[in-house]
Amino acid sequence: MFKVSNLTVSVEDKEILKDFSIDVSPGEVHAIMGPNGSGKSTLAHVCAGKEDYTVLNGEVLLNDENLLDLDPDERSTRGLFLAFQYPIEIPGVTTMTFLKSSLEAHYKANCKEVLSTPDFMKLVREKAAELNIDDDMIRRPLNVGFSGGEKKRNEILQMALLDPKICILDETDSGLDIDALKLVAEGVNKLRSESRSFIVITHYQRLLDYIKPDYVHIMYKGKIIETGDSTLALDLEKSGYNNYIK
Amino acid sequence: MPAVKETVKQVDEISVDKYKFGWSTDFDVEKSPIGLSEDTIRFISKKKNEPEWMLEWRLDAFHRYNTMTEPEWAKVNYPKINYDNMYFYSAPKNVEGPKSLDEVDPELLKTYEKLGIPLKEQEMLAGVKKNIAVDAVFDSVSVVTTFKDKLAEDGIIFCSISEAIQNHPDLVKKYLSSVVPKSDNYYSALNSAVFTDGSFVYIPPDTRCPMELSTYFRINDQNTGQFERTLIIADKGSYVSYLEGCTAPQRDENQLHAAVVELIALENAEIKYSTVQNWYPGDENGVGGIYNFVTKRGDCRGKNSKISWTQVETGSAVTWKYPSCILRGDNSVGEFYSIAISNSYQQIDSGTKMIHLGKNTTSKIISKGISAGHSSNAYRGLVSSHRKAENARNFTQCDSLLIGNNCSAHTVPYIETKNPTTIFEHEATTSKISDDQIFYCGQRGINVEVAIALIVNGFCKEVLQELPMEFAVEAQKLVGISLEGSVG
Amino acid sequence: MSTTDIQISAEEQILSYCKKNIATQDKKHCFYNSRLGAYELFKRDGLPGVKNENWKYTNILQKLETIPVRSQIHSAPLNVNNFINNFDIMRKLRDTNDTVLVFMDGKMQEQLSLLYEKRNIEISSLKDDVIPEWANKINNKKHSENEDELFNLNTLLMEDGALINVKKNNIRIENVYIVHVGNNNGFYNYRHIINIEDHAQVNIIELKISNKSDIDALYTSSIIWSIGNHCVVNNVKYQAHNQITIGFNQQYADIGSNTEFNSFTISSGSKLLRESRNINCNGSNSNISISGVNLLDGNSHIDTFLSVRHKAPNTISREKYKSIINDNAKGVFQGNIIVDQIAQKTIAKQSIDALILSSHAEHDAKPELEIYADDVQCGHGATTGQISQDSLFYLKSRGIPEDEARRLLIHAFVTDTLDEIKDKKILETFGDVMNNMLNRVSKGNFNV
Repeated sequence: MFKVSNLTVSVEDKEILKDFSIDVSPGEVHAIMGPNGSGKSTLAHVCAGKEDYTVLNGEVLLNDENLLDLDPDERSTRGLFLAFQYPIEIPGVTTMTFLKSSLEAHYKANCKEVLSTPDFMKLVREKAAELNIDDDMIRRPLNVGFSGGEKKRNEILQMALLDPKICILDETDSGLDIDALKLVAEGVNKLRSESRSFIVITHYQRLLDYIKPDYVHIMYKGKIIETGDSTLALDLEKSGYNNYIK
Repeated sequence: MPAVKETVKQVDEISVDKYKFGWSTDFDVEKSPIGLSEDTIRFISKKKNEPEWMLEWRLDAFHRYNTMTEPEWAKVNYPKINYDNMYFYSAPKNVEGPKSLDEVDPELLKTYEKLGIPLKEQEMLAGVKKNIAVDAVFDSVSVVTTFKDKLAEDGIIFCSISEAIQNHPDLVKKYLSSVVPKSDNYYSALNSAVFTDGSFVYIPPDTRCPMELSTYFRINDQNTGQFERTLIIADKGSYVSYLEGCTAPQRDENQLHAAVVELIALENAEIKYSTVQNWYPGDENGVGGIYNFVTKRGDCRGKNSKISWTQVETGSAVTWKYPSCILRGDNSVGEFYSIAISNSYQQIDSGTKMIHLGKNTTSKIISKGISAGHSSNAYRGLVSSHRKAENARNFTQCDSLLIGNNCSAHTVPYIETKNPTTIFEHEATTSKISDDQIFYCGQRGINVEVAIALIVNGFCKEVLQELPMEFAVEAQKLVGISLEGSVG
Repeated sequence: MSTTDIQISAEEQILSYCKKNIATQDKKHCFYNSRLGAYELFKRDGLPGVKNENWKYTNILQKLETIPVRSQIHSAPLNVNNFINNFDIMRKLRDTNDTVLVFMDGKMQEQLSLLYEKRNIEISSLKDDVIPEWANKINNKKHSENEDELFNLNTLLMEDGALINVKKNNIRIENVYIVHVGNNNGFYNYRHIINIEDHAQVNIIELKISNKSDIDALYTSSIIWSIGNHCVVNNVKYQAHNQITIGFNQQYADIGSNTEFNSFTISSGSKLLRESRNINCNGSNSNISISGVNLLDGNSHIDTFLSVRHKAPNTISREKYKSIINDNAKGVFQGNIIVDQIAQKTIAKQSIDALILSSHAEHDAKPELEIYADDVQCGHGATTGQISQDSLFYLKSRGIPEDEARRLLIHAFVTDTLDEIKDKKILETFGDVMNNMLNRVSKGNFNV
């Protein structure tokens, strides 16, 4: 369903991803762990279509369509969702307005009838309540003055609204205390389904206590060097990366 | 824009016979003599059947104008205007216009559609020729009489300035040029000499104008300078909200627009004046477009009076415009909210003047400048407190947003303090739309153009919310449309 | 002075002074051509008027009626130690071995100056027959778009000045004092040229004072800085003139890459003082700070004109000025930050604050931004106001007497500008000097 094959990517002539491949089937959760600078965030950004990267080789396929040919918004409406490590602030644009623009773009792209404003507000409030997001936060400008926990919950709210096929969580646990982490993980777990897949990028095993992965990959210098089940993450936590770096 | 719909309906109903202006039987002469001379002015005054005092008034302005030179201090460049090659008055005539919307430039129609303007209004804006009376609306002669009867019940006068000169000479004599003197500047002198029409509003004491008053100006005829003259008087304890909206069709030749707007607020009166200006800005290479050299000034003449200017400036090739407030009455309040968007090769030099003369006067300036393409966008503003202006207060926030690396933004504030009890605060910032913001929106399915419109609307929010509801919706759309193509 | 002279405007007096002056100049001197060029320009343009946007708030001819005639009433002191010991700031600041250059009435005073042989600093005089090549080169180039009529006047009339060359890799920070004392009536013109080679560090401390309250002096002075790459330059200036001195100071600085330039000024007094500063950030990764405090009373008029132009990417500039204005004084601040198209990632912040203490005082500010690059953070803030009555009431309600409360609040207003002084010893001394001046404010007198 979601497949990255032989992806080689450089930034300013420096290769960050080298012949990287991963294959994610519907309903699976894959964790990618790795030390700083291993290329985890680059992978997330390239899949979502951020500029500043040069793709030298490879494909990113979602249901057999190569996403690399598409603009970021088209990748989004096809069903790829990236939960940002550092969600961006947009002053003056309320979270509600932003969500509406986003959802409308998705509905239009997928030929679905756009919700009426009251129905839309109802939907947002419903989903927001599940994530402990109050009305006040939705009325505030997007991510402006949000705490770390609020920003991440807001990411998960967007994920819930947009109904994506593949979700990439880029270090979603960074900057969260344990309560916020639990809340975010619960939100993600609710969204797990047979048709939706996840790639969870993280530095620490901590998040994986709450979001149980089917596979764990260790990434180093732009490629996967080890793959295993959830026990791999525990081993890694004990022994450190050095054991796996040859 | 319900008011516009009404106007269209009204205009449709006006037949040539009902049209009461003096020129209507005189179709052989369509334009004043070319160029500017005493003869031109006599011609205009005669055509408009003006009383002798008005002609004298115009001639006086013309003599003052002759001693003045075009100002060059603004941060704008444009080829010198040849005033000898212009017509200063043109009455409606049977020129070949589009017969239906099918004949109108499709680009223009696209813009109308994006703005959500109904078909009927599109016809009006595109200048589809239905009959002579309809044509008349769009040129130098105004027929803004839509709600006249209804307003008359409250004693409110809302008519063209030509009509006011005929029917309310005492009010006109008392207030005309009492805020903007004839020789205030080059363009105001020119306007005083040759103005052809405009609006006149008088709100009697203790009256709250029950509806938003509105005009839709448009420049239609090539080589015709447009010189509106607007005079609004809010008598003691009254309130009025006035909307001025403009769109212009595609034109190849530069056209001059030099309007003068005067507002007078007496004791406890309030005037809210909102503008959305979307005249033809020239093509993507900077060819053509309107020169918009406007003098707008309000006088808070009475105690506790208030004048509030809100403007959304997206059009015109060159804009030179400083809606100002003279805070003469004690406790009077002046406000200026502005969005100025420049794209392609547009040049904007706009801002305000807040002149604190009375005691306990306050003013607030919120200016949002957005430059894109190869444009240049300057805020120029004066805030001054005079010796007797005890406890004058001003807050100014002046933000610029740059889109792309070929445009420029300038901030030129003048802050003059002559009273120790004054508190003036001025802040200015410059920023850009970050790639990260665009990417974030994109990742949520929002394409670049929508994202820019969204972010810029957020940037302008404080000003947009000052606009009357129906204007605000159109203005929001306009913000997005104005910036189309600004990011490659 | 005869009555017929008085009828001639100051502008004409200056012009005839220039005419006589150019005739006496040595035609073979390397400055002659620039002097002649400046003369032609001044002849054409005269003094700038209020219609000139850069002089909008300062009418020179309103303040300058006649050019003072040179007097030789007060002779210069002879003993250098006495001179320094009588000069409070100097006594506190100076270390042994520091270079001290003393000018009196525009002329270098060898007997009052302390010139030690330094490996890394070369000092010569503008009066010398042979001008070093580097100084000639710096002097003759165009410094800024803002070179104006008064700069031309200074170029034409400059008689003396220091030529200071700080050589490459000067690791030990040297202190150089340039002291100027107004001792006699007259019209004085001088210029310093300061060249700082790559990787050099230096502190330049300028002190300008009027020796007596009745000395009628008119002067133009200029400093031309050429600062290389990887330099650290701290510049502080203290000027306290009497109420009849009229001075036109100009500074032009070209700054290279990876350089730090901090400049702080305290000014007070003067019938009219124009501080014109033009800074070009020519190289990337430089960091500059231009700040100052103006204390105005009596009929003083201080006009600060500051233009900072970012001409390379990744540079930072901060400008912070505070003015306290009392009596009939008038303060003017015109600032302009220009960011060229190439100068991406510029960070420029400017703040202009004025405290007005009297109902006849005036402050005019025009802080401009001119931005041609999109990826920049630029901003300015400007405030004018009086001492907050609420704060005053609060302090008084805690038993603090009115005078003391005012003093505290005035101190609070200016104190953060001192953060811009990077050298600790200078900071302490200037802090004291400023406090002493401010303590007099509450008693209604700044004068030294």
